Amino acid sequence: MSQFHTQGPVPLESPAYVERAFEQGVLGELLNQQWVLLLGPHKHGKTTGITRIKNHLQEEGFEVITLDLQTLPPCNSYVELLTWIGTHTARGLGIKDINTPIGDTAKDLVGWLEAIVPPNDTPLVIIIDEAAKIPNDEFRNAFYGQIRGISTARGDADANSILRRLRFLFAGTFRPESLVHPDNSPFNVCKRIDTEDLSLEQARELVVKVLGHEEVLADEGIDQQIVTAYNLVGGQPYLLQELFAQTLKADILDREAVFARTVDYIKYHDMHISSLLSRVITDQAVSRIGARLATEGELPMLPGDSDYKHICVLGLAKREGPRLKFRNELYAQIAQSSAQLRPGEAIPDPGALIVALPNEAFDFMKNPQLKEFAISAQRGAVKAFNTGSYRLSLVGFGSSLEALLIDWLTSIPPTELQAAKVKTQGLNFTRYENANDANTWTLVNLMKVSRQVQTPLRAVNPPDPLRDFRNMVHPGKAIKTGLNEEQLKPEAIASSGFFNMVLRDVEAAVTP
Amino acid sequence: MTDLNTNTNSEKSTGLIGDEIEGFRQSVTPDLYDLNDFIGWAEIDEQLEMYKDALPVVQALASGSRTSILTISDALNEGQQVYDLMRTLLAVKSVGFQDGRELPERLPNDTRGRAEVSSVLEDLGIWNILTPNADVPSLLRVRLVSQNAARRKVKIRGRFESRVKTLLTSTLSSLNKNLLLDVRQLSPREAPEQARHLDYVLAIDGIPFAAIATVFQTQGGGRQQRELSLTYPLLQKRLDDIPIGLIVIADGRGTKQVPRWALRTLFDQVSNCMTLRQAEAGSLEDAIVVLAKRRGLRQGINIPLNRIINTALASGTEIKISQLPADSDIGRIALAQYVEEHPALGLTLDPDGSRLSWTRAELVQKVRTLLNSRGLATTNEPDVLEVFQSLLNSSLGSNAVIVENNLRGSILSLKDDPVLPSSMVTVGTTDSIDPRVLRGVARMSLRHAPEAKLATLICPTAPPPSILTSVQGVLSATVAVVDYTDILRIAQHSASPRDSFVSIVVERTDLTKVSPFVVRSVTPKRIFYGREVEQATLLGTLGTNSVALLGGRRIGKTSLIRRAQSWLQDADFRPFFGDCQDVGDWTDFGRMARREWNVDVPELFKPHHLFDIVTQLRDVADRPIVLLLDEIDHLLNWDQSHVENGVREVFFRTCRAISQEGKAQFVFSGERVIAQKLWDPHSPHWNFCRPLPLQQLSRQASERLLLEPLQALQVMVTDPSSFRSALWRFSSGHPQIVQFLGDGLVGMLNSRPREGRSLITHEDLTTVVDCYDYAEHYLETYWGQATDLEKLISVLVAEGIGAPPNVTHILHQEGINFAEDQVVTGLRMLELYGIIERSGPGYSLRANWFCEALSYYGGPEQVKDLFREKLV
Repeated sequence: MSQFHTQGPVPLESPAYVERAFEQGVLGELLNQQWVLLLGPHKHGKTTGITRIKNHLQEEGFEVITLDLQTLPPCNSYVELLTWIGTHTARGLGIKDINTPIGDTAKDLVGWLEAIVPPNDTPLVIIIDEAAKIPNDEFRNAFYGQIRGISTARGDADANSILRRLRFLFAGTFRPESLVHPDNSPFNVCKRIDTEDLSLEQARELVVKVLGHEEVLADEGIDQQIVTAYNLVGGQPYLLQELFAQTLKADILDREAVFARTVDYIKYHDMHISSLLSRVITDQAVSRIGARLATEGELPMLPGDSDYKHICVLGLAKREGPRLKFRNELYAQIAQSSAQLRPGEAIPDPGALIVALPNEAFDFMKNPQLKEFAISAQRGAVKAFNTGSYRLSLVGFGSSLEALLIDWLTSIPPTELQAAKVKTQGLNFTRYENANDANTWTLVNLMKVSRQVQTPLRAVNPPDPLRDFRNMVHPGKAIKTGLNEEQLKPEAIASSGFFNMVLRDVEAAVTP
Repeated sequence: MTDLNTNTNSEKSTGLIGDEIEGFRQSVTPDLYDLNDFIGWAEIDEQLEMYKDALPVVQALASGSRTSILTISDALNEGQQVYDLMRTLLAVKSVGFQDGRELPERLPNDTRGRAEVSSVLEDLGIWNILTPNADVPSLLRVRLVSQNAARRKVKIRGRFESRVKTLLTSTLSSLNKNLLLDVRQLSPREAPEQARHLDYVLAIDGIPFAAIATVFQTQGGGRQQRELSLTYPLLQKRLDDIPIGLIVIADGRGTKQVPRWALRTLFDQVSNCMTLRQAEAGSLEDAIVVLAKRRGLRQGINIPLNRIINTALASGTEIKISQLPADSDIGRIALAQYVEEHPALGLTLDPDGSRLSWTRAELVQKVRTLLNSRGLATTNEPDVLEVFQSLLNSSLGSNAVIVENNLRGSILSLKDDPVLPSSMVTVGTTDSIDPRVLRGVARMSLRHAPEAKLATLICPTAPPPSILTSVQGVLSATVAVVDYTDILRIAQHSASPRDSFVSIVVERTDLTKVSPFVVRSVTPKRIFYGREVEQATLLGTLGTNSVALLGGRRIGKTSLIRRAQSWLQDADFRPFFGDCQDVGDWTDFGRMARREWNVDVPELFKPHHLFDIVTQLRDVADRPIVLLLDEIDHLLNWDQSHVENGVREVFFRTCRAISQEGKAQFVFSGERVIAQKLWDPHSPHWNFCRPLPLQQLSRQASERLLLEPLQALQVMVTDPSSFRSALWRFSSGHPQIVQFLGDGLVGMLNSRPREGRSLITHEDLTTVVDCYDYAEHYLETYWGQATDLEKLISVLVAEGIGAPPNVTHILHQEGINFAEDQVVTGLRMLELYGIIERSGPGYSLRANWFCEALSYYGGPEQVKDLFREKLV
């Protein structure tokens, strides 16, 4: 019963595995000498599938190495990045001593591969997992540009050239069209394959494999539980395993209650949901589609539109013919009750979920200390909310907002800041504030001046209630409102939405 | 050549046959009995001797006063012989009765069992025989005489057959000696299948011509009548196909009783019929001589000569007119006509028409040898590989012979081919074939010919394809399993062995691995079609000016610029290709130049170093230098945003200077950045380079791009005209889309059973197209990097709004505020992408299937709404 697998890739020997169609697709393409781009949501079986694909290829006689870019350390130069790639490639091939390339060759991926890979005829498959995890734009473009160059050059390369032996599998959860400059993206020459959900039959197969005998399906209670779980989370493999792991071991009389408790846990405490929602929320275009989806239930697909595709890659939605729908009922419920996804809208579910934004959402901030402050304050606000401490949650969002505005206003040219100040009405600095140093300003002044800064797209307009809510940290002010902790929940929900709006607009203002 | 429909001895008159029948009936020997051995006394005496110990016991039983079970039981205590004797007297062997009792073969050892046997013997009436006065030895002797009578038929048949055999041996000996014929008796394995069960099959030079059936009927009846009037006539009919004349030697009392009409049928429809006496009197020899002369063609039958030719070619490598039962002119005509009628066979007719032989006679003979030794230990594997190599006209690559895991193979080097790899691992084995063996072959292929996606396994007899189909998809190379019969067919076919082999590949392998279409990479020379206008423009311009190849994604810019390299070489230019995919700035360009062109330029490359590059690339003959820079947009983007000594776009300016000074010319390929630079009249470069828009292929070129690779795969289109129209409607000539369709068709064929893989129709093409995935691919390919505004404009043009002011007006009405010059640029970009084309004062749709593609998304109106929402 405990063999359902919910942590990391499913090991080769584990029974908690059913073969997925995407694995056959990827394998077929690689065997057919094609390059593959494998996209799919987190915890959707990519790495589990890759492990099996790698195993099969090795059995067929291929050399295969996996480069997991999630483990890539910060690199100060492109050569450093290639050195890491080269070292890990050599390690994957079991080579201890390599002739480190120098000069131009050290800046060239092919140069590294020629220095490392033994000269024979065996095809080498390089699996680049978490392919988006090269944070530096310049290095990322150079790296993938050089891989694209391999694709162009391999047709005319000498018979014994390394270029003709290479096949790539890129995997991850990212936007292929914007991860790399579209003109030199290797993804354009890849066969794109998207991971798919499990079918109900596969869900049953999974349970039979883990429980060890087919008779379990004759147990109406178990089959009913499989169907109930499937109706809620669809074929999302991680969620299915999580639900099966918790409910199928429970006594038949307790299963319903255990199931409900597990769903609650997944909704409010499982990192899977917060990770998914935060990724949706921090991508403006996708977030907009998600919000519409939450309101309308389903949408027509827009042809050739990367945003519609990306919301499927992230996992929130899926395509059914020309329609875009939520991937499963659980995601629909969560999206519909997310104040962050639908700021300003009346949320029907009072049990709304708030998720912490990923660190990358704050990447545009200039000052590392302020960035760290903004991240931790926002994270704290979310944690407080999810444990029922709504007042502290309001404080957290307010503090994070303050750090965000200070960072922005201190980074714009002094002339622009001066112009904004001039336009600001009712700007009053206390004796503790330095009019020329936004670091010292109160939140009210930061918000007022922010609204007057000239921005290329739309103005940054921090809503006043955010400041009012934050002030509820003061007992005197809180008492005046007559609202107790529980009654502040709507304000906390609204704060999370407002905060996301400001974060979005400041990012738009500072990003060229 | 006359092909008569009749298969009777029609030349024989009714009267003649009547005489023959009469003669036959008169010469029938009713029986072949000999008074000396009619009753087998010697055998009877031997049997009586066997019972010598039992006889006194049974005699005593008969003479005794007590007739009870007990006395029988006591007698049986003397042993098995007594028991056997009693059973013989009662004419019973081992038998079971419905009351559950039985007389077993062996006398039971226990008392109870013997008592039961005794009771059965009593109930059967043993006392009726063993009466007090009975003479048991005499009774037994009479009984044994009766038993012996039943063996007379077998004895007579054996005697009959023995006489026929002796007669045939002496007849053949006499014929071969006196008439110098080389008539030989074939073993059943050598004989044609139709005649294998007959007593004797005779051949000259290995070619069968006569068969002999012997029949001795001791009594008449329906079965005997049927045998003569139906079985043998039908057999002769089958033998006529070879042709072989059937000689029936029939005799015996039963034969004489067969009605006259049945004998008439027999005489009319088999070559010869005779009694043993007639055969011995010379009729057999006469019949063999006539059939030998007529090569098995029975008298009065004019079966087509092509059957004789067939037989000769099926067993040998040639046939001469002298072997035909016809005069030489008719023989020549027959051979020539045979060639005409069998265009699929690879035959060569001698100039004088006197001999017809297999074109690949030596190979045909070798394969036949292999086939004959199939399954025997003498099979020689390297010979199979040699034959196959000769058939494909290939040479052996380096490390030609490879042995791995008990598999022995060679690497064949094949000529440039759209389907077959340049190096192909070919393995021969006599072991049984299963998926494990296929996997072994695929691994050998991966090791020794890693780029080949096809390998070949040759075996004596191929297993059913269903056993191997499932594994093909997960092998590193698909394995074509070919057996000796296939090789014989390839050797005997008039098509090139390459084509015959590819047909087998199409039937039996994972087609996706041998698909000639290239969907996601540079199009190789073998399927590069069209672009003659672009070629002429390039060659005509590059003497004096540079060229910018402009086109959307996947339209074939890189494929063209790669091909241009060889065109320029042929035209005595000095071309240098530079892939600028990963060239993001000047330094990257310098690194690329050092790597690709082996020039010496500083690490910190500046645009003026381009002059140094050109100088270093110059050769002694001073041929004009052309730098082919693929995917230049990225570099130009960087170039226009960087300032060197107060000047922007220094790289592009330097290129222009070099071009204008005639030091070298450039071919740039790019999309949006370079296009906008050249279209902008305010840009300093708008008149630098001749823009060469790269759009869809012509209708003819796109048809060739799809149909010629299919043809190379031996796949035929049944309705070419409808197919071509459908192709044009679905693709409008976009080369990537054409290849996508080709790949889709190959995928569809791959999912079909093997016998349905060689034909496609325009409906198949429609099936590939009729899905959401194709609509998505179509739109994404055509739109490429179009902006949302451009996409919206394309939908408006699809709805018939094509004049720039009208488009701008509609956009404004929808709340989308773009200036008209932005709309004009958008329209121009869509024109470059091949979606629209100029028409009067505005534009109209060029991509024919565009509206249908939109219909998969709810139609133009809905798509327009979605874009409008995004833009507003």
